[in-house]
Amino acid sequence: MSEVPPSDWAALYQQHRDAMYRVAARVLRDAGRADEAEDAVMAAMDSLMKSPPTNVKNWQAVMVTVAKHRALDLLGSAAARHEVATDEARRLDSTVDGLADDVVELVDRQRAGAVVWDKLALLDVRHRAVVRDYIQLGRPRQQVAAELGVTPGRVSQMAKEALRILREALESEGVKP
Amino acid sequence: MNEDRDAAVEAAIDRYVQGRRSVSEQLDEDQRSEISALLAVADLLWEEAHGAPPLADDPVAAMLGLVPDPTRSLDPRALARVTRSAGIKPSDLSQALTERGWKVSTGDVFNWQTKGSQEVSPALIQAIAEITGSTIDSLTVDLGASPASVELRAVTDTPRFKALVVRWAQLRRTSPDLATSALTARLATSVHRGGQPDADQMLNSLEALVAALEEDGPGASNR
Repeated sequence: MSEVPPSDWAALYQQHRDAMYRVAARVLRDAGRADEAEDAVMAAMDSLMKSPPTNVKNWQAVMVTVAKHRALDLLGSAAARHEVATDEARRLDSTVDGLADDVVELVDRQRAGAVVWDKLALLDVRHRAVVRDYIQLGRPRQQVAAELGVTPGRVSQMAKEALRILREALESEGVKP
Repeated sequence: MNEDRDAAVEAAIDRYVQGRRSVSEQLDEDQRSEISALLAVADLLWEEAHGAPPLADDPVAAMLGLVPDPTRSLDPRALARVTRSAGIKPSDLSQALTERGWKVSTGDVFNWQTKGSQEVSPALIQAIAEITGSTIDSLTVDLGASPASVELRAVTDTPRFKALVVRWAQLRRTSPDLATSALTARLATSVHRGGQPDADQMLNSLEALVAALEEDGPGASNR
């Protein structure tokens, strides 16, 4: 599939939106702006639809890369890399092979993510709650502690215990986080 | 010694959650190595929680017509009639849709022709219309805003329902979309049974189900 009629951007987006959100959130995370991933993804789709790249061999690579660029734009590192959509489309056409690294890394992380998701089954319900609320969602430790009826210090201990169990489980399967 | 080591790891995790990934230079190589490895696992967990939201909460998906319209449904008889008159077999239609990027099997098309579907998005119906030379209007039926669908929407739009979706996705190791569908289907069952439960009752019931399954653990059998 190299040419896509405009109406089917929806199909492409449905397939690759999770990867687009993940890469945008990762880029924005260090600035504490992961919740703006949606803006980056919206901007990415907007620029792709305005200037569709041609001769695309790997749509995932293109869509993930554009989402990453738009996230970087949001961080203000745009000055060096901001290009009008047409230029970006042309560059994407000519450097498809160069996009592969991003996608390989993303696929590796998605695979490792699936394994760690699976390994959550090793934790009891309270440790899973700490993983979800404290580590994944970053909720205040005090709140998590109050909900579980433990001290804040115990939440940190449980987070450490959960991470050690998961690390060991990943290592036993040869998965590098 | 071990207590000190544990305290250092816990402090590093707390700093990580607050957005600071610093590992004290005063720690020995082993401690630093363990903390780095644990934070790498935490990174993976964080990323798992920051994928795309459920379709219904994704404004880009809404813009592209990927969110099914609760007031219109693909009409099985209209689809069968249109494909027959265009000489398009279910396998042809699924093939044509697949070439346009949609993940659709011949079995899906059979189901649409026999049972219809409220889960087919407007964008996909548009693609079907283009392939079959018809229109969205001719392929769909107007369901109207039934009291049941309004009642359901009032529940699925709440933050409490969305929090249950996150828990269900984690429990079932499934995507937010599938979790939303699964929980919405359970709610729909209670609405259509005619018991007229209010929003809080429906959410309490759902919460009880999720909590019970969490107690059983992720490996528990389906309920």
